[in-house]
Amino acid sequence: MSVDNLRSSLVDVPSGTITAESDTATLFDRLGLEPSAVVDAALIERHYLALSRQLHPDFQAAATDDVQQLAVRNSALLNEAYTTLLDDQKRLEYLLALRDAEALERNKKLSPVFLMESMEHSEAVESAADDTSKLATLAKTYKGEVAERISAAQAALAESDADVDRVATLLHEARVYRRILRDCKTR
Amino acid sequence: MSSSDSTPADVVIGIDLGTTNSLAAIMGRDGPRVLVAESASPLIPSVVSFLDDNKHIVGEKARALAIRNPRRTVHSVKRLMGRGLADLGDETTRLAYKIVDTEKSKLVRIDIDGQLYSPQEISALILGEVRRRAESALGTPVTKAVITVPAYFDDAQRQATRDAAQIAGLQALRIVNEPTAAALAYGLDTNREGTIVVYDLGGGTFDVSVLKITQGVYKVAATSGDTHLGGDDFDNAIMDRILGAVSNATGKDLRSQPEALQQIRLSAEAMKMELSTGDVATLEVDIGQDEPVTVRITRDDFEDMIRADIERTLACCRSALADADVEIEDVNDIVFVGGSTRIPLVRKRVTEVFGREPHTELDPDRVVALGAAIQADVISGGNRDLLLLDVIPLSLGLETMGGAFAKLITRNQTVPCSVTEMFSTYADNQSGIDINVYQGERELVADCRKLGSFKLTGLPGMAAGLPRVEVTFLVDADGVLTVKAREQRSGVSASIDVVPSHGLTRDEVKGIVRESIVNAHADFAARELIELSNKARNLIDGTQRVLDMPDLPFPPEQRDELAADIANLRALVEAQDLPGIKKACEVFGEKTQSLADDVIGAAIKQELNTERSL
Repeated sequence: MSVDNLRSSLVDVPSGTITAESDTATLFDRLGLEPSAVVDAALIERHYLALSRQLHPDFQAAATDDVQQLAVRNSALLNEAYTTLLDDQKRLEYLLALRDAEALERNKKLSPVFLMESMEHSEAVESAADDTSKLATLAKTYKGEVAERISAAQAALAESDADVDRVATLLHEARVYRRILRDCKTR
Repeated sequence: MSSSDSTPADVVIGIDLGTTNSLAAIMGRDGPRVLVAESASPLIPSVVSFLDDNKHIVGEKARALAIRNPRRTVHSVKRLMGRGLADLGDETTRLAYKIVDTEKSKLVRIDIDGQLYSPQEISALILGEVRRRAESALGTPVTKAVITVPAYFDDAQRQATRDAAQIAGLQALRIVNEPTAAALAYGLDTNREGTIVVYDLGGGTFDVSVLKITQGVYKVAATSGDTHLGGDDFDNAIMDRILGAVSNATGKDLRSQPEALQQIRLSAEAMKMELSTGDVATLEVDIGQDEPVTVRITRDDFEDMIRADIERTLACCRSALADADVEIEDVNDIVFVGGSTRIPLVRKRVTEVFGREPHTELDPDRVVALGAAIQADVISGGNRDLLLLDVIPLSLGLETMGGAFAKLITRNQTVPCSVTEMFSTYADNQSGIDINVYQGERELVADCRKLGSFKLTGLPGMAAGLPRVEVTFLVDADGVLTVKAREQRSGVSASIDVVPSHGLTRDEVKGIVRESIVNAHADFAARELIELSNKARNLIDGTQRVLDMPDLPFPPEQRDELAADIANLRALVEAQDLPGIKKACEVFGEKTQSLADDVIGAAIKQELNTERSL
């Protein structure tokens, strides 16, 4: 698939001219994509690499200082877009913020029931200690808990009238489970 | 002339500036190759020995002087880069040379008979030697390089490396992470794709990087490590065993005797190497009285000494895999880099944990320099197919009220990266704010490493919380941070000259560079000699070619005169007579101008003919 006519807010692809981005550009614009809750990871990857080959400072060593500085800046913006959009959690949080910038902050307090549960899970990981098979079973459970919330948030955000508060809570809870999951793996 | 790898103006070499050894490599037609000067080994010991009258030597000879000249012979300076005395702990007791810290900065200095040197200056001397040998191997001046650093080097250590290059008169076009460079060399050599883990245990540092290679793109997914874990620590463990044995047998503490200490350091290193192949190593320490003390260390003893360190490296591996979101089963290859991977216990444990044998086909001492040469080729425009995407190893942020650490950039972000966040004041009419920059993973700045601080001043009086201070962190492709701050309501910008906590200021670096230029006449002369000798050789070759042409349009006298000039110039080059070559080149150049015109005319004619015939 060709990326030659890719439209990015960071670089004019056909000519390779690096451009200063406008304030209204979204992370999707940087990668030449339409905003959406569900994304095609292979497409993001392809666009990212095509744009990196034009923007990365390694390929601008002979350019003027101004162009080099712009290349560093735009590479940073491209990397931000790529990292955010490819990660389900970050992408959904970003899309939520586009709809309601305060939603995440407003729903930071999670229900006492959920917090109690998550503490129990943390303790379960703690007491599993060096039992690798037990840790693997736990990891599988928590992976499921994360996935369940991510797909619910994703489905909600695909609709134009999403309940932003509910989405925010789902995303906060997914973060908690991700943290517990990481503990499982590094123990 | 066409046989050289590239034209002089483009030469960019790759340098592995190691704890134990340093070396350079360059991209050739058939791939990267290590540069070797006349001497046998391309590995240059990273050792500097200071002699009388302010002279110094670097490399094998300096290393050989370690025992006779212990207080003035500096080794393992890489472990001091960007560090404070407090960071080094009891390591300083095992160094035969003296290190101090100054009141002005927390950066350690090396004290040679009262003259203080920063680690950057010592590293610059090593880089200077690497450069001289590269120039002599290539027959052309070298001013640009890609230099490698451990992936887990923090901002201060990276900045210190860049400063060392500047002091050595080298433009560091890129700072590349060692495991990433190794992956490049490995990937280019084997054409393999997939997920690879680079396990790099060197003389002073440990790194692990998880990379994904697809179609020429080398993307680092995560990195972890310890900049104070390597072969030196294993030597230290053996040294402690030897010193303890001597103390038990004789009641003598050899730590206070630099000569003995250096001797024991070298013996410890030799025993370590012996234990990689044999089951036992024995040392007789002659302390000049009674019977010598015999120290016997079995491989089991040695493995017990280093087991905890090896397990620490494996914990780093697990953490990097978790950050990369890669399961151990999904790792396609493991690559070994660094001399300490020759230790059998390292190989055994890594094989057990990953369930596969690590790759060791490429020389672990050279693979990093080869990778740096590949990246040098990319940056100089020779290779447009490779793309290297690396990450920042440690989170970056600033201190907020109460000593909390506000992370702006989290670790393992692909570089370059940039984040802007808003902060405000906590007191009414605050006219300035201090911005203290830290790097680390903990929640409190007290547990992180301070990189530096700067002040945003001249704020107009406002109520607490009203100013909107926009702080931007930008990390470039070298992993080095720049911080900017601006108060939005008043438009006041901060002076962004960060005062480094463990480094040299811009002015200090400039000062050292100025001084070194004054002291570097010899260096300049050597470089000029190389350049002029090349020019002379080109003149000789060109003229000789014309003289060899049949049917010369010149009278025989002119031909004889030119032949005599050639012989003369050749003798001057042979004798390395710089002023002589300079003068002869000028005279000869003028004389052959018309000749050159004719030759060029003929060449162009020939070129045109070839073009037409295509």
